Amino acid sequence: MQIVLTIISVIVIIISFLYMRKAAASGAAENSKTVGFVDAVGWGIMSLGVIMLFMPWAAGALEKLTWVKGDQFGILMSGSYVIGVLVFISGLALALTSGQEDGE
Amino acid sequence: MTAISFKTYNVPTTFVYALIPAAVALNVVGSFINHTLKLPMFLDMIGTAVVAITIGPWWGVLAGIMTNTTLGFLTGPISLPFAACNAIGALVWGYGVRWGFGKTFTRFFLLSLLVALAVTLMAVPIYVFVFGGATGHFSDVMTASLLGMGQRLGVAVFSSNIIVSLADKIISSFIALAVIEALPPALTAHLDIVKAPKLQLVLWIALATVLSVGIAIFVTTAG
Repeated sequence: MQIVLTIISVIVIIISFLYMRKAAASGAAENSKTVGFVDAVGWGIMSLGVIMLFMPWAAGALEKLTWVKGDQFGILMSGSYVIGVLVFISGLALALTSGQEDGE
Repeated sequence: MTAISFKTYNVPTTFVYALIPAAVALNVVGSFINHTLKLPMFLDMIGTAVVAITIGPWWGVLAGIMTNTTLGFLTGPISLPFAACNAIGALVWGYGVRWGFGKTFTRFFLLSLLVALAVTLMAVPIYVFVFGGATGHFSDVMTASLLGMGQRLGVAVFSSNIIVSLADKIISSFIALAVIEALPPALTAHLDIVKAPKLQLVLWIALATVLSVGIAIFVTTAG
């Protein structure tokens, strides 16, 4: 499974690089819509939300590993804590830049 | 060239849609190589560094989190909580370059060390509180040795993780620099970053780092 995924990943890397080079050379990239810092933070917070959705499953699976010392609740609580720190930082970054438009 | 602001640089969506999947794939490949060869490193942040430096720290955060989510389903849920480390690394790389840490070779090397320190500081609480000190990684051997020498769990995890992290982030940073060189100039023209050093120099640094880690592992396990 991992080797298949790695081969797919290598193909993705090659295609992406070729696509970027083609888009840059043809000028298509310059004509496309642009996105800025706020969009990136927004997408980042959304991806953290996706991780949070899977944390209960992860906590259950981690508890079964022999070398993990901790119960399901402890793992879930700690995992939520570290992801919560990032959500806080992201929110702070947005709050500090509120009212400033991208590209100004 | 003055340091660019992350707030004023807008990136074409064409590059975002192409670069982020490529970065995630690069991280997955790096992680697979590390997993297969059982190296005392991680190699799962090369793509994150490329994105954070090139199009911005918060896009790097997105690439890092996507990487760990992907790895979570493929190699096991251990990598899920470590998404926070990948994100912190992206922020330090991204803002570091934008604050002038990429202008010279020395500064960029210093930035690699800062990333390693930041990632370790984020990783230690995860190791200790989520996993109880061990994740099945190579560095667990060093942690166990340090615990056997009478160190506290937090100190043992920090000591073993910082050694591995330093090697990993230095190598990742310079591989990322080489990858950035290969990107289209339209994507990297705004960057005030040092040119990739000759590959030979990178190889010497990588070799020296791997040897240092090997000696450190030998010393701790023998002790």
